[in-house]
Amino acid sequence: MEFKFILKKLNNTLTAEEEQIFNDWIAESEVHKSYFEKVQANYMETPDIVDIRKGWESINAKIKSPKGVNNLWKYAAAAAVLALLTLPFVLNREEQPIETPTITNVDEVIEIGTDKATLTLEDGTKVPLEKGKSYTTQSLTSNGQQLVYTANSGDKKEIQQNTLTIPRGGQFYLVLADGTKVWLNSDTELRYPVVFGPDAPRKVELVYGEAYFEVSPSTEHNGTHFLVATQGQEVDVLGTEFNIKAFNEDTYIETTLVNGKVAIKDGANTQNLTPGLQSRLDKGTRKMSIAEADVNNVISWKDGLFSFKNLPLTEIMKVLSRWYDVDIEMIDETKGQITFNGVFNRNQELENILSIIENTNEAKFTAKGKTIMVE
Amino acid sequence: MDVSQFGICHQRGIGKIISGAWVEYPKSKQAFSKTNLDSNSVIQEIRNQNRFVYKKFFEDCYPELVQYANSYLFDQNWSEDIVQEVFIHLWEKANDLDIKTSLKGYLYAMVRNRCLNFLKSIKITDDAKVLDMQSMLSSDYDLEFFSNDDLKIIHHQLLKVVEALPDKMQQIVKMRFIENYKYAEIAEELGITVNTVKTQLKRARQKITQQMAIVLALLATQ
Repeated sequence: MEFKFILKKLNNTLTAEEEQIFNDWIAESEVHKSYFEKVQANYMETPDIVDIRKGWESINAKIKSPKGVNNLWKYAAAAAVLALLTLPFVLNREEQPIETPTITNVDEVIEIGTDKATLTLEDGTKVPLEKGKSYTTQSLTSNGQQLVYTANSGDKKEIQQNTLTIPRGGQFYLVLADGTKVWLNSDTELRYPVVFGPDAPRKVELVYGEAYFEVSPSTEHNGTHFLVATQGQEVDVLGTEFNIKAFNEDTYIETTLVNGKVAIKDGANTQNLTPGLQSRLDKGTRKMSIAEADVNNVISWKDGLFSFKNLPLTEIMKVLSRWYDVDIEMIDETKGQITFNGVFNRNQELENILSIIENTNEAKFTAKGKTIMVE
Repeated sequence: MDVSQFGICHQRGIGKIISGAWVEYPKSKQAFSKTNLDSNSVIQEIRNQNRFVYKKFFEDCYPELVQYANSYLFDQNWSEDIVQEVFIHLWEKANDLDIKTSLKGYLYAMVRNRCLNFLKSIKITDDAKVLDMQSMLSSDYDLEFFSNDDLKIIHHQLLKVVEALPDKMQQIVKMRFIENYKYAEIAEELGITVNTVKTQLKRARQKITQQMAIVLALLATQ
């Protein structure tokens, strides 16, 4: 039936013959009737505001399906092959003797980081998680690339703690039992309960490393706060998005607030953050300072980017070493102080990134196995 | 890759190297994909499974595509579902897509196809192109994917429905939708401001919708 008939029906201008066609159509199914009613109700109306955030959440949940991840894996595999083909070129730049074997065994190949982690259960059992390895229990499911806890699993008297450890060269996505989403960067460890008690604060511990939290609001959990403990610091949250960076080699803990409001506590010292601000707590002196932060820059890692803004080369190399699981040797220490700007996709070969930096003629890189020498 | 711009640059803002070009980040998050990435770079980044660019592109296009779908489906939830499916398709099948025009134009075309398929499933046809014409009128985006045959009918219908409008408004509608002038070009040609062009088009849209019932009698029967 022509759409036009629906408009004519609404305007009572159908001919007898058309009316018959219309009546047959609408009697045919509930969906037909429902469409007619929608046109009737909304034809003259301007549409409501579209909720972009909700739309994104819905998509984001779906593109994490194995299908999407397979694509990623294909890409990583292709890139790894490319690395084998192109690495000797970089290595030979420094006129090494030609007979030097550049890549001697598979362990020495520098690879792009992937989704991987080790889950440690309450009883100490370690479960490796990586693509292709799914793992499911009563309280959790993992497809090997993300881990999702399902709420309200029984006995609340004895709440078990799990630990998720992300190695260098890894990253992982975790959904806690209360629905809080956590992105975990390379070289990171998070400890958390399998379920949260109904009235007590929801407490997790970022043992070390970097994590981005999207906390499920307190209003959905009897008003219970969400607490993140990190090496003496505690972040008190009501429902918000923020990033904590506290790698073992860092001398400070950085907490950056994207949305909402959090309180940073260290002993008796409490500071509130508003969105766009970053606190920096010195691990030694326990001095805390607060400054404006470039939020996009701070959280870009969770969206698959390296974002370097006026960053000294030593710091850039630290970031790269965690994702590509390589060691860095600064042969010329002065080079470490040179600062660079740039944004790179994390899903590419280390060699690409190094060659771009190298082309500035400010520094040279030589790879020996999994060690990168900078001079 | 042109790398000359990656270097020690203290004055410079943070930027992004995509396909060799340095693209500066703007101050506001929202403007990122709109102003700084051309269609080719976006699809290339999506092929590389760059979630960041994909998300920005989604945020940029989602509302207008939902509104576009809604002009066929008249239901916001259905419209959101269809647009989300299209975006998921884009993420999963980016490597297989053969995009001849712009990426956004491609998404518009996919949304329209899915809407028409849905209508087909409930046995609704639109040979008179009433829906196409109205969605064209209410979209700010230049829809470039209609076949010549479709366009002929749409223009034919449009010419009929604008007859009821005041002269000036009629002229603007014709320039915009039949001769494909941009807002600025219409403004210059008629010696009015771009804002006036937009306001006139908005009023024309409202009038046409309101009068649709009346002008239906004028529509060519198929």
